[in-house]
Amino acid sequence: MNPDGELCVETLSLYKVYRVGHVVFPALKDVNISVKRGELLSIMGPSGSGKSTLLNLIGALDRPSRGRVLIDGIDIFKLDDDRLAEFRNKKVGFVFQAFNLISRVPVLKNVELPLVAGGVPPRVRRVKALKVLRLVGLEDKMHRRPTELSGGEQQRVAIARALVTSPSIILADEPTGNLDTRTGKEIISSIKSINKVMGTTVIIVTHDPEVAKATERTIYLRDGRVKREETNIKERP
Amino acid sequence: MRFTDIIRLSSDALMERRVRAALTILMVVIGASLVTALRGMTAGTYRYVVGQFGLLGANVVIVLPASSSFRMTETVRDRLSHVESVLEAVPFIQNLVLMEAHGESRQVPIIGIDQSKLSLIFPSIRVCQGRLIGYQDSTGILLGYSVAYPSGESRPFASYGESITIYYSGEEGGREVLKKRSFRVKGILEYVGTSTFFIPIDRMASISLPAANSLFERKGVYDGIFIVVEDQNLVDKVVEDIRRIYTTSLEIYSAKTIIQTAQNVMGSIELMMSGVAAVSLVVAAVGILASLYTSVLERTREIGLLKALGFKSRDVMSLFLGEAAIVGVIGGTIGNIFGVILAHVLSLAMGKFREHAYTELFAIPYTPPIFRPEIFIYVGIFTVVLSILSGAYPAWRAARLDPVEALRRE
Repeated sequence: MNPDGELCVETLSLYKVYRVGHVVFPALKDVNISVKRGELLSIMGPSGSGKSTLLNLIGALDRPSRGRVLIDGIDIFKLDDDRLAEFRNKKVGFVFQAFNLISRVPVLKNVELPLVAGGVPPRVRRVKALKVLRLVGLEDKMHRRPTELSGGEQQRVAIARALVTSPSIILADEPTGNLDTRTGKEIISSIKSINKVMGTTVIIVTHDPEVAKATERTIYLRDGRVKREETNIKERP
Repeated sequence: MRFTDIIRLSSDALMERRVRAALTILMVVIGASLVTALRGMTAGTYRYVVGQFGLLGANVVIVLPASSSFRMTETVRDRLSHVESVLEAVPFIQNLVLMEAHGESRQVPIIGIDQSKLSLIFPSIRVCQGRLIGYQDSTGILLGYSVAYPSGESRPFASYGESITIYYSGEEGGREVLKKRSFRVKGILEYVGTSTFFIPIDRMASISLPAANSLFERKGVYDGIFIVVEDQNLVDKVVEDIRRIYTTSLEIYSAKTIIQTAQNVMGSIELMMSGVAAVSLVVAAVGILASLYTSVLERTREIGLLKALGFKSRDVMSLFLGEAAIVGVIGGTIGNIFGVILAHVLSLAMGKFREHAYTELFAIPYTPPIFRPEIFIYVGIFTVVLSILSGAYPAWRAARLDPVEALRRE
């Protein structure tokens, strides 16, 4: 197998339909995308184009109406809910627009949280959490509460949390949406360096063209379909 | 997920809303402590009641007139003594008097009875000083141990051989007057430590039947008659026979009927208190439900996050059940402790209230609560189970939240 061409994510004629009462709203229509291992991909599109829905399906937060999602060759929606939760835990790291940190516990505990779900012993958790906190440069703030941190720092904590299980893919939904431009840039460059150093596949949903431009490839969605794809030259030696 | 992590995360969550948690726990404490206190007090009273019959001849029946119009005379005694299987019919006269010795006075219940029959009725009583009072002795008096030697006092109230004065209210020319008469202490009973048949042997005095008859001007009317039956197995039959003769004019108390009466009274008190305890536990359960449910609503987003991070539905459920269980464990433990304190305080208060009743013959004095160790375990387990059951619905709601929906919630 050609390691460079190995697929990390593959969606096969993916459909998602939402029903609100009698109103049927198709969010995704026949979406077929492939993401190579280690790729840094962005998904763009106007509001309601289905980009978050797609991201949620790749992250196994939601089940499709039709079609399949393969992650590392596994047809994830053949798994039952518990296996799916384990899959999310081991293979996927989420980064949210609103950071979603738990404010009552310190940074370190927030980062350890995915490992708690995985039943990892406390000592191992600590070592792993410290490692990823060092990676995002926040080990000195590990005992602080998230609310004592700046927005950029909070998002870096969230990135550390996403990384702590060494997932094969990181899914970031508007990770810069709550940040000012400069901090947003910093976050994107953190994500890029993680992608490069650790080889983690990253998919960023954004509607900021600047962010999209910083990724290797951009998929444009519109009305639940893939409109076009663009390879952003530069980098990738 | 590890058990220790469930406990840690659950207690973190409780600590974040500590006022609410504390109030919820308080509700559980109230319910649990009522149950514990109730059980302890009932057990204490029950042991006391049962203890009444350790000293009493189980073959003794007490017969009292059902109304004041019934004259319980020697004729009645004679008739009762001829009922089949009756060994003796021992009449008694009782009254409450003021007793004075060494310039000190106190209220003492006094019983006039043929003292040669005393050991038939109370097989275990012994004279520690002097002797019993003869039937014709009109000035001799037999004191219960605590009358002669009041507990907590350094010197005796009255000693053997000393003279005491008795004040009592009598009638003269149609109006009430205070009369007095002197007696000599001719005997003191050994300490019994408990009252028997609700008769406080240690705290009362006894004179001969004729002396009581003349002293209280009864003109041959007794207050009651102790019936000594040949064998305790014949008691029920004798009670029936007496009932057949006198129907409702006599109240008949056997060891059995007294235990039953006491149990009925205790049963209704217990039922009432059980009701209060049950209501307060239900309130506590609803409290846990409400507080956890609110918590689920407030933490919807957090629950969505946990699911995104790989927590299974059952992990989320465990976290909320964990909170309920912690509330139950803390509430149950504090409830048990408070229950013990509450039972003692209530028993003491009721004992104080009954202290006035000490001067009556058939009164239950202060009975300390008794706690068997199992009761704490029962209350603890019950409280925790109840808490977990109350937490089940909110926990289930949390577990089945859709993560996408939950994360979208503000």
